[in-house]
Amino acid sequence: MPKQLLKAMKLMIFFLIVVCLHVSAAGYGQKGTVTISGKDLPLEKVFNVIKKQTDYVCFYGYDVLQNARPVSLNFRDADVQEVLKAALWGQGLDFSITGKTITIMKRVMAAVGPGPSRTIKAVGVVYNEAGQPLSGANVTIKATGKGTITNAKGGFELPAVPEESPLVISFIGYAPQVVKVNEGKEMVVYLNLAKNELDKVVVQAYGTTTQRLSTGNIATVTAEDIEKHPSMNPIAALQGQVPGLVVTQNSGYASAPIRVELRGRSTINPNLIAEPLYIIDGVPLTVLNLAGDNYNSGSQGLTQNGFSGPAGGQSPFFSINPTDIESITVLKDADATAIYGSRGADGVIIINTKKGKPGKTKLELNAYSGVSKVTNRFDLLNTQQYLAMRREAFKNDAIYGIAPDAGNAYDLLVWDTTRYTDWQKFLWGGTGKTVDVKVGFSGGDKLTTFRVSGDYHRETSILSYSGADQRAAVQFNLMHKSLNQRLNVSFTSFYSYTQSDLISLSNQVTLAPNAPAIFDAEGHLNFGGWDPISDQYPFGNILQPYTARTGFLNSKLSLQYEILKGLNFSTSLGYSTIHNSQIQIFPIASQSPVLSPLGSSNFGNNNIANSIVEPQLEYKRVISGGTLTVLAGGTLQSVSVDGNTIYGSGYVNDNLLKSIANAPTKDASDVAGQYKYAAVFGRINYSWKNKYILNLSARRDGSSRFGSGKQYGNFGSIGVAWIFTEEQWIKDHLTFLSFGKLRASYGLTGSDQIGDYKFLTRWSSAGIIPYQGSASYVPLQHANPNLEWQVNKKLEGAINFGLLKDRLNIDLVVYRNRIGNQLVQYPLPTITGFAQVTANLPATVQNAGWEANLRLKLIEKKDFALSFDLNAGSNRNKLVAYPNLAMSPYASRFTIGKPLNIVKVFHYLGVDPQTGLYTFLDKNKDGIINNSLNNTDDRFDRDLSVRLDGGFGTDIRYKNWSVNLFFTFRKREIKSSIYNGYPGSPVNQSIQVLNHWQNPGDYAKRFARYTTLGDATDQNYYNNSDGVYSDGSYLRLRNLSISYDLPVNWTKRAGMQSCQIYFRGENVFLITKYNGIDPEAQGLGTMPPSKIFTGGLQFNF
Amino acid sequence: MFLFHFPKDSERKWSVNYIWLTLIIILFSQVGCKKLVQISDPTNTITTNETFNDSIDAASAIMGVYSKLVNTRKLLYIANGGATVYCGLSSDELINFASSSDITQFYTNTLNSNNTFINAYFWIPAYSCIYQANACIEGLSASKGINQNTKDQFIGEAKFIRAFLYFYLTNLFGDVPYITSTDFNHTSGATRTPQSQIYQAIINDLKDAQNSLPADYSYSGGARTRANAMAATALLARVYLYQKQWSDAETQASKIIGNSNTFNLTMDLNQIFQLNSSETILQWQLNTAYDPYNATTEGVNLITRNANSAPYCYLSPQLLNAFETGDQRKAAWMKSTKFAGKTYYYPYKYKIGPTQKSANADPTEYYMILRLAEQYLIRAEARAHLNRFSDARADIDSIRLRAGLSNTTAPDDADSVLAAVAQERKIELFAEWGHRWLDLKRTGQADATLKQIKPGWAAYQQLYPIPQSELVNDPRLSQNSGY
Repeated sequence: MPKQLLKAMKLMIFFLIVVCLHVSAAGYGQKGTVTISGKDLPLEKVFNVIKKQTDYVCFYGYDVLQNARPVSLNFRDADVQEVLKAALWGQGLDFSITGKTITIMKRVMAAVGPGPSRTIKAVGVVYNEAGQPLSGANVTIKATGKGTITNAKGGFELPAVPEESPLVISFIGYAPQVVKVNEGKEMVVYLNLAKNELDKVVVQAYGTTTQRLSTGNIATVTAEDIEKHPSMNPIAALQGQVPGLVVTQNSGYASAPIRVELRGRSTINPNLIAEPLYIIDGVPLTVLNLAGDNYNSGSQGLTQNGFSGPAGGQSPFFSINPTDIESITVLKDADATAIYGSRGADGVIIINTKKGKPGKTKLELNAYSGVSKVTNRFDLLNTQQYLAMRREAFKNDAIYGIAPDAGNAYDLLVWDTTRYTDWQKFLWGGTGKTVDVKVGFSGGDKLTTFRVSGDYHRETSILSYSGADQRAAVQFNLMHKSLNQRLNVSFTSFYSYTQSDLISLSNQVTLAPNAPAIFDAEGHLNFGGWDPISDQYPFGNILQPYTARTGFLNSKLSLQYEILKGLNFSTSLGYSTIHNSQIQIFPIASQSPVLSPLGSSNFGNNNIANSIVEPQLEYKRVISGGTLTVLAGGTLQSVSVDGNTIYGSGYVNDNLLKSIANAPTKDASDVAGQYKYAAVFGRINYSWKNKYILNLSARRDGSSRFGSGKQYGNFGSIGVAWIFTEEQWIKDHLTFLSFGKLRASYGLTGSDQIGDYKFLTRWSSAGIIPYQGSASYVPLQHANPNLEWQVNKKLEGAINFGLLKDRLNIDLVVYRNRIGNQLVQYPLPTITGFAQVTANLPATVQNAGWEANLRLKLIEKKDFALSFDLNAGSNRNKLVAYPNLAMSPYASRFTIGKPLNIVKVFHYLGVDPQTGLYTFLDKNKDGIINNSLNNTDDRFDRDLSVRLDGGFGTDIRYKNWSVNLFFTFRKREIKSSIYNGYPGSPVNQSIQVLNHWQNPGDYAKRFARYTTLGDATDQNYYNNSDGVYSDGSYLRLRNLSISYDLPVNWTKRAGMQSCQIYFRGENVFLITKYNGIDPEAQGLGTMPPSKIFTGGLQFNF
Repeated sequence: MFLFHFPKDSERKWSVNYIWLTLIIILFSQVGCKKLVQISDPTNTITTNETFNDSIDAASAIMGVYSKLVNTRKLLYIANGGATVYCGLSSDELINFASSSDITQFYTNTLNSNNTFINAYFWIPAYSCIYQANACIEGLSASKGINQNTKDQFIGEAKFIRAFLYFYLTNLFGDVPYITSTDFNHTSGATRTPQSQIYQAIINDLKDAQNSLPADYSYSGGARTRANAMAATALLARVYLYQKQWSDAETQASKIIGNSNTFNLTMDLNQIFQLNSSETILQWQLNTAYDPYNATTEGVNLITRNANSAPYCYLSPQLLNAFETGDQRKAAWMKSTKFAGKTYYYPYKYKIGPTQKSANADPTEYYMILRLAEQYLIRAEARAHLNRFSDARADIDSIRLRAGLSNTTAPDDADSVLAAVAQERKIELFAEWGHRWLDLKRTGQADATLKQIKPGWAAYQQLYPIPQSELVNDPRLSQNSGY
């Protein structure tokens, strides 16, 4: 049998024994002395006696005792060491005691150095708590800083250690240990996982680090934080958790896309989205935005075929089960993101799912259910008030020759004026229901670990007519190490299936309160009753359900092999695929019968595939008292996104609508995009005595989005950190500081966030009706072969403090990002044929700001713990440079030195008491107020950026009870939701409009005279004035969570490890000065976020 | 897999490790190669070069322009009912029933430059089709894969469409940028071209089209659905008329009227707008294979659902009162609906409306672009200016005869004959392509006529405003005065 295999087997048996002993040693009291007597006792028996009588356990390899002979002993209440010394005397064996662990080993012959500077040889092995060898752990001689790293088996050998110097053993994520070298003995070191936040493992680009040692800006949201939110979408849980990250859900639908922006708006282009790079278990989730996008609404997610459904698209993360997530890591600055190159220009969000851990197989069961209700309702006019408004409006408009007739005053003259429907109650009166059931198994041994889990979730919304969102997901993880510990294989995969049944009905609550009933006497849709606007009858949607089914598979296989000590080759092969199919039917019954309609259906499909290969070489060694890590790697990513829609029409029968084959006429369109990305990169990290850290990275990126000759760009970053609390003079003088770090980074990254094929002329016949029986082609875009990389320059500085033995941690960050050579959809006059072209703009946008993070563990006792968390970020966006702005299409939108998110508005002065018209400030005093968009003489800049965003929370634990509160806050100005068109039009208004001008001499009224004229100049101006903006700042109790752990003796009896009962609330309350009901429901009648309350049980076996 | 192949002794270990290293280095050295980021051309589109590489694809590009002009998904775009309805509202023909401000602004002549219809239904579709026509002309001129005859024919069609759209653009907006290039670097900062230059360019395009296109409809299979030399001639006659080049207008119109083998007045008033009627010079083809109904966009929008439903627009008293007694056009070309106790008349030249349309049936009507009756009236007007009064009267009478009216009694003086022509144009061409709006403007009658019925009328309202977004995106463009 090969030697190595034998060795590995020995090692394995040793581990098994260790584990067995470890487990059986648990639960015994504190005892220290041994009573033993007998003749020819085998050593095993002696060790058993020690184990029984004390809380020490003995570890030894099976061959250690091969040549041992029985011993005769006679001790009473003797010290363990004494007994062992006697038992091992003359056996060629040694022992060492670390904590409560006694390790028995063969005696190693020591190399004896000459003279006064006597050195000894140190040989040892480093394990983690579970007994797995730690490869790549640092072993340094404290006195000299010299050292080595451990090999694949955790082993190390230092030939010349000064006799009196201890060794420092450290490994990322573990508490370092200082051990004394015992001459001639193999040292066995067990490292324990770090308990403090500073030393816990955090995920970084292509590896792991700790908050202590990182040179970049890395924020982590853990599983516990994510699980507290009953949202179906894990990205929603990030809101308020990470300073600088602004998360906004676009609509109340659970599947709706979520807009994520890190550190402000980076692009001038209103039609491009600068989203972070998402990496799920190592596989990037890149969705090509083929649908054409908008800065304000964000990506349409995985529905790129142009058929976005009631929710305006679908978030890909809706398919990810939040409870399978171990952590979400947000990388922000150049140092942390540069290695992802262009893809990481707008930040990187790394989602890692849960992995198995060695140990007993664990079974976890979790189930919860809950209800949701609308948080608040708008105060709208009742029928009397509404009709009075309409009549008054017509009275006022008489001077323009407008008289009410059946065409313009159907609500007064045709409809029943005695009806009243509270449409909000009618449409939002439902109770949403949520059910979630989850089961998970995990476990493994030192060589192989696994985790499998399954989850089912179903929820409905508060809409009275709504479908359900459902998700079923399975997750699997397997990790295996070869016997010789040099090969590491891991496989992670999840598959989820979602089904969204939606009905578009959220924004119809501002219908006239006397509008006719939805259904007629026979229960059919009441088109007839809505004459003369039966073509605008708004409830046809009830019979036009939309269904989207999505399958999402994400898999990664990674292999790592230790070529030489410190030199590892690894590669990861990742693949993800999303298939989405959609259908929405438009039955004859849902359309106005007077139009003699035919049925139609819309069928859609979307396919997204990402694949990635990332070979890497990592080399690590200890040089001159510091640790040098060199990483070189390459990335090949390929993305293909395609989609199609088939519109079937002409159905004469509603029963066949779900079959496209039965459609008499079909109209199809498709989209397809391909994106390839290739890069080589390198990273050099040098950490000297964990005091000075330097991190350099460089890369060369290629993207298929650029034309020939412009495809490649070079980028890089530098990061430095100084842990000043490692300096002796700080240690001596600033004793209250337990940790202090200064760090800075600077880097260049590129960005290619534009659509694909923008450099190419494109003609298509898709969706174009043939003429004369011949296919019809139309051109699709202006081609721009000169496109090149956008360049983002990021600068950041930060200081981190730990006080009171790290119980208080404060991080303060300042940054400045400058984004130049902007890639934009440059607006063109349509006389050129198209309204825009994708181009580089010589403009520079700056995002500068600060971020703060504070964590305080105020009380940490066995039965009582209290901690606080606060994070906040403030970004100031600015257009720094724009050559010749005045002669550009952006002249009337932007101002140099001002944020991109400004609007240019008139200054509202109030209602003229004589005329009842809105009045405005004539800024340039030329006697007229100029409303043309390209004349901004009378306008003021108003900043709509998020000015401050963050969250704070507290955790309170008392005995078995835990309470967690999490608040989010945001400071910004937004459009008030009170203004709904112009009061007097046939839509309902807020009761605030009652405070309006009626007669000459009415002073200080909030609203102008009622009018039916939508194009009345003053109404237009008002809509473009600061009068319609409101402070949209808020403080929200986003999450409340209360849990109770059943006492251990109860759960033990039931065979459980633990059992928890919990209660969670989402959107519990809101404090805002916003003129509306919720700053997240902008626009009168927009559905506000719901309140959700859930209760559940969790069992661990 | 070789990864699981474990070396047994140290010597072997080293050699395997070197193989590893070599492999990795080779792998990395490959990165940086252009091929890694080379993506295949899109599967659902072709490039301009490919489009104009052969006559089949090039024909599809030409067909694309027609398709864009007529297939507007039931919306009233400039070349598919927009000129009829919105220009009709601006003049004294039509009154809107629907009260959306975008529509009302046309009727009250209070258009503002943010009016979405002005931009989305007139400006954008016109320039988008002009771009495509330009792209076809450029692509065909550079093409090496297409023979000269085919090239000339396609270019001729593209030029006709370009001329046609510029004719409407300049009549509605006045001076507009005259664009003949697809290069956005050159066209994005364009300024407005004086109307006289635009007219000259239109005339040049139409002459080219006359020369390069055949006079018959053989290449469109007998259907009168693609521009030929006759269509170019008919439009040229109109352009000369608008340019007051009377004899040229007379000559061109005579070419059409004289071609009686092809063109004859359709005597049944209900048959004129049927497909390929003998009066047709050019029609847009309706395609029911994709849009399952066989109705024109005008028919769908203007015809009411039943005798008791509200109209979209209705005919003004000024127009209703202008019909002479016994005019059969009144019965044949208009229809009424009674809504909420009031009777409204609406245009009924096209007979297939929202409820008359039938799914998947062959269309019986095509959308009429140019027809013979207008040529008679063009020639009559030209002849009146040339003092050929009896010839002018004969042309007017051809039209009156068909309408069941007696001959005109206009005496031998230009004003009387011109008044008779104007009256006949008002009736014959009502609710058709905005003729009334354009006639009022070109004959200088707009102010006098519209002042009486439109409160707040001002002369500047004869021109529509340039869309606001265009001014924003091309700061070199100026707005029409008054806006």
